[in-house]
Amino acid sequence: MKKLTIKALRDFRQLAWRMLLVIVVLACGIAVFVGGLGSRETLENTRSTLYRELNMADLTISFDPVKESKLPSFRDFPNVKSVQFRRVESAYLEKDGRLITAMLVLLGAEHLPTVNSLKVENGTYLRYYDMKRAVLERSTALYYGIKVGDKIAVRWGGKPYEFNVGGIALNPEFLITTTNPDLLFPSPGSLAVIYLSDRILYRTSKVHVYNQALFRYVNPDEAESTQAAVLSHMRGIKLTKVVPLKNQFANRYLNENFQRFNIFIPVVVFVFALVSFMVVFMTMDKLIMSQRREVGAFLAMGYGKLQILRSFLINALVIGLLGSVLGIAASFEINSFFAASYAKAIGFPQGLPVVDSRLILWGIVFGIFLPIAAALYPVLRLVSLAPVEAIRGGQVETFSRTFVALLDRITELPTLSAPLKYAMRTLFRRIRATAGNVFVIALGVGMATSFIIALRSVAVTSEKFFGQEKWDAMVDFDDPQGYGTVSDWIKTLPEISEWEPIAKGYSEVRRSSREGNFNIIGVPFQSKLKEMKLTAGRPFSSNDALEAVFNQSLRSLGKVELGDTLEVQSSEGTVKLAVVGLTSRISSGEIYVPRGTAEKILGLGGKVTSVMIKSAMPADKLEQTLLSEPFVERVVFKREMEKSVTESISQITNVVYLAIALGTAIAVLVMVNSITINVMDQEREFVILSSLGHKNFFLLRIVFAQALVMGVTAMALCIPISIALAYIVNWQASRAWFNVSTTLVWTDFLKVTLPALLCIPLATIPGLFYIGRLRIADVIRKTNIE
Amino acid sequence: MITPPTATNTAPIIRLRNVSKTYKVGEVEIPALRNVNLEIPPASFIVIVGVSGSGKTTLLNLIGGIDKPTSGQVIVDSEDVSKKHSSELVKFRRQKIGFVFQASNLLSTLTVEENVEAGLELLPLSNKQIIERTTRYLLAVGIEDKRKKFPFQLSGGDQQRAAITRALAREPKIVLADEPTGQLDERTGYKIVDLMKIGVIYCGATVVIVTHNEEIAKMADMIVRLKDGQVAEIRKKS
Ligand SMILES: Nc1ncnc2c1ncn2[C@@H]1O[C@H](COP(=O)(O)OP(=O)(O)OP(=O)(O)O)[C@@H](O)[C@H]1O
Ligand SMILES: [Mg+2]
Repeated sequence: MKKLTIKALRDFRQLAWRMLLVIVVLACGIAVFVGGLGSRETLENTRSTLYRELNMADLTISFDPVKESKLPSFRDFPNVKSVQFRRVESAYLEKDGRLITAMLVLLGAEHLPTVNSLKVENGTYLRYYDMKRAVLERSTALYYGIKVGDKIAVRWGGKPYEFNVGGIALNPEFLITTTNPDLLFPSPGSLAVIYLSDRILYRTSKVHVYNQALFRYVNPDEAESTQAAVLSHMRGIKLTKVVPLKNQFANRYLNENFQRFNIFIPVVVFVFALVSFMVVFMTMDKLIMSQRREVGAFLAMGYGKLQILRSFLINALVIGLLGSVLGIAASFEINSFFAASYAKAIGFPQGLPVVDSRLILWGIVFGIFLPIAAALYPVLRLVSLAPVEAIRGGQVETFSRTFVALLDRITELPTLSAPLKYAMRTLFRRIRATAGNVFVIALGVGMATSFIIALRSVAVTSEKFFGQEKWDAMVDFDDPQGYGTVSDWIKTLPEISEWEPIAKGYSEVRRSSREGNFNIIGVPFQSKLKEMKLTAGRPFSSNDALEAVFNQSLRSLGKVELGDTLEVQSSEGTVKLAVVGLTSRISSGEIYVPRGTAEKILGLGGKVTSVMIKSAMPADKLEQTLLSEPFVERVVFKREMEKSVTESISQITNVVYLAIALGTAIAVLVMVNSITINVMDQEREFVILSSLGHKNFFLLRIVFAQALVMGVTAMALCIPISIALAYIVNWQASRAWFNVSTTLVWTDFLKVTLPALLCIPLATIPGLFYIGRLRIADVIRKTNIE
Repeated sequence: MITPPTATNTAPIIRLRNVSKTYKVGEVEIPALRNVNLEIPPASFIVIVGVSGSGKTTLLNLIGGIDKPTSGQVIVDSEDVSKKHSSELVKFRRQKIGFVFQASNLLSTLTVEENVEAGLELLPLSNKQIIERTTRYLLAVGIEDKRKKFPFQLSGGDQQRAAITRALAREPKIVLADEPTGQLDERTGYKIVDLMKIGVIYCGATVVIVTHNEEIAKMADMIVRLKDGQVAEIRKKS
């Protein structure tokens, strides 16, 4: 091996601790980058694996019940791999005195369904002769704590039934905690899914009657043409709902969730990249500065610049390689931790971690490139020196003298103690290193703080959103009801202080070339119970104006702007709506229109689908009162929605806590390291001080004072950094979720900075040990020889 | 083994013609050398003396091609150093010059032996030749027993010996030493300079030393005294 290579590797060993820090920081960055982004891959892979294994329906068509013999055959139908007909009934699950909307799925007990199949995880599947047996969907069972062997009470068609839970099964339709797709905001557990034997109905009717058809395609890319062909093949049957996979509720919800997953990762990766860059830069700078004269001698001897350059870059390369290997190794852990904790929060099944080779490759490229890039500047600066200048040695100070002189003035304050005065002077002398260290510490703490701010911002913003909803309960009817009927009914109810009707339903909406399935919500003109706080534009001009307010959260139609035209499919053709206002809400996929317009679009003919109610009655009593009316299908309470939003915020909290821990750890590591290095750099001064008769205690006070000055400066600097990073995080959140406005509360700043400040005494310990072991003679000799 | 030169060349190996060097610090111009004319014969032992700031180091740096004159010509072994590009200078130094600095400038993370070898790796030598030559010169300078030691484990004198070994082992035509004995006691300093004469005697090298040591000056074939950047006196040994 070339001697300069040996030298590079030995230098590395000499700076072992510093190098270790650099490697750890770099590895953390790579681990979060590869593992964090990889965990999304893991979640996506779990989903697609289950979709494949369990034959997730590419198309779900609901229709009015039809006898088996009247259904068209799909044998050898182009692009249709398999078809499954089934009967779906809505009912209620009675649990702890509450009625939970339930979906009963009646299936043949002989074999598992071919499309939207089940994976029985506990117990066993349905049995042909056992009509009291039910199989419960996995997340329903999890959410309500129901186990195999339990009995469940179901209210179906007004009559009570009891079933024995014989099995618990996973279904690709409900990979997340079962939520009711018709709610304004999906609240976990709002829909119970129960599988029963279809013999329950067959026994009396002696004929199979179905109301839903599920299709699995050969080639999903041809979804649109196949769907058109299927629909025309089913002409004559009265279809009620056609849902392609891309609009399927749980699938869409997962897409939105996965997007949200990446809000924090870019900031963590960015901060770690910056910190690793700075730490490598400072380490190499220090190493190179201390070797200027030796390098000068080698240049004089006839070594070329390239040879010197290469020898220093070897160090950067070793850092990069070790950091990458360590980071990639740790990324698997991060990957499964992120994926598992997230899966748990949304009731998603756990899958095996997926490792994306491209991400790993990027991780390695990033890991190797970054330290080399960071080392390049100091090395280039050295080799571009003429040998004479290098040999002369000494420091090249880039900060202006006057600035340092100005700082020195501070130390002339008479109130400062001698150690503090000395500590500050030495810190200012090496202003570049000090500034770098302070900045890195501030970055670590700042990142952690910014996440705390972001979490609070999300919570506060969502609270504000709920402030716009003045109603207590939203009542949905099973069929649209006439305004008069509703009004008469409400007059019979006690303690209803205010109410307003709503007309809502789903429709296809198109804007230029993009389209999507949207929830059209018809709000009363100048509604009092549903305030429309707009981020831009104006409210509706009348009750039947062709106007819309677009909810920008997760805008799947691209960037909708004021004045755009939305084409909405209605029962009587296309209706063009002008976007007059923009809003941002926690829920997504909604378009608000005046109620009259909604009635027209949805073909309601003067009827309404829901009412908003304000009432002082306790929730359970109100629910019972409302549900006793036959046409009431379900009641949603605002309080419950708020709870579910809080829960969905807590989904990301786990991930955020990890980032907070990492940021704090980095800050403490850098602090320990920079204080120790600082002490080592000053060993000569310390030895001179003690040879002059100063006690070790005096030296300890200097070290402590330096740590304090650095720590306090870093914490002050952390405030603007954390605010800036919080804005970035919130901006990301706004793109992936809803419009988050940054909320600053001063106590949030203390949550990380205070513990970090308390760590300062700990950070001085290695430095203090070093001082304790200093031997005057050795140091004097070392510096003399140099 | 080290053999005496076969032919004696009388043409000067180093020739400075009207050499001036001015340093610029901001607006201030500092003349370090002024119109220096100097001829140094080959295979000779030259000592440069003069008070601090008289331009000794500057002169040495110009000869060694690690610095360029502001005006004038520096001709070393019939090559015009003042006209070379920096990449040509690297090659020039590699082939012809050996430096010994005031402080030893050994690489602290390499052993004595490795420091010497690092100097030899630049020459077209096989590994075997490198090892052989290292041993030969370590023996000649008298620190062979310390070859596995790191610089910080050596005394100042031994460090300077190691640096001299590193310069001599490359068998350059010219050895330039800037106060190589500055931090040593007179006796050790004397011994070390004596070692450098090995170079003159056995390799036919020209040695140029800057020193304040009177004893050393006495050994010189020629003493050049600088004053305010000018040659004040040239004294040749008869
Ligand atoms: N890089 C430089 N920039 C500015 N002035 C310089 C530089 N190098 C040398 N000088 C000036 O040039 C003059 C000659 O310097 P030089 O180092 O050659 O003196 P010297 O004879 O070697 O002195 P000493 O015995 O102290 O080493 C001095 O006045 C010095 O201050
Ligand atoms: Mg000098």
